[in-house]
Amino acid sequence: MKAPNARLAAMILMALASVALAADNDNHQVTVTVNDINELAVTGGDITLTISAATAGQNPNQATNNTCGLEWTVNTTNKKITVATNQASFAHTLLVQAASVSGGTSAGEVTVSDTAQDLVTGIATTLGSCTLNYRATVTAAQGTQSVAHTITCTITAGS
Amino acid sequence: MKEIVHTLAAALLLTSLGQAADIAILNGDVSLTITTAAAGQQPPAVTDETGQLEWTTLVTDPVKKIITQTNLASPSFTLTVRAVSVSAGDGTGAGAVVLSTTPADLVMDIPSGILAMDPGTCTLRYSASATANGGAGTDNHFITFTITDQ
Repeated sequence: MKAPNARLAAMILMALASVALAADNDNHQVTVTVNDINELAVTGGDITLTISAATAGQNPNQATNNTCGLEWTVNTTNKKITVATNQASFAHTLLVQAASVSGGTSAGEVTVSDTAQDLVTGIATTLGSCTLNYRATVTAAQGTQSVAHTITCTITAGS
Repeated sequence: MKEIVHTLAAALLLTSLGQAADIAILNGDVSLTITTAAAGQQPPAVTDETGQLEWTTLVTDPVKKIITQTNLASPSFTLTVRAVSVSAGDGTGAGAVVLSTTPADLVMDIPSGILAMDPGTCTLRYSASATANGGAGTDNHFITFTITDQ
């Protein structure tokens, strides 16, 4: 009676001791996915342009600011950055130009309106940055005013 | 009783001598996804530690090592793997390996006599990284781990 129990115990032990390890190598699938990334950020915060003086007999002096900038990360192709204000109409002229551009090409000085316009073009699979050179001008006829623009810059498909 | 003890001892000995040096992956396939970046910065790397390895060696084996490689000849993104939390006395992690089609050392100095009842183990720390100029897309790797003589 003892012998069958002993053999049974041995068989069970061998079964328990064996594991799924059955080869000197094993493998599995590892998938690496990188999604489309189009990230843009304004640096330098809010700004104020104040026109406060003029030469007698001439229109007021313009006000300028170049303390802001843009940074971007784009891992896709054929992209550009556009710029627009939320103000539908205003009695002065606001202009902006992307300067010292890396990772793209400046589209030149833009008269800001509520219609999106190209600011930086030729962006593709790159990190980038630029300085935003703002310029505000007004004529004597346009009077005094204070207008708060919300300027939006957007990465979008290039033309 | 003596008969049972002798039989059990024989079973244990046969178990350890009958197997070859073996290795197995636990926890299945792995996915790493890079989804975003801070503006002006490269995308941050992503990591995964859900995979584990187990291994055994014969009592007559020389010192062993575990090597690893991918089947993907030209991946678009960088994938590294590192053996972490290697069970005490069962080997030493070789540091992070940038996966390529050339086998690279992952765990070294694996001694003989690691039994199936108490296998050597480690966690596989995968890390995937990408750059902006690397674009978007998917790399499908078939990663192989092999236990071999050191």
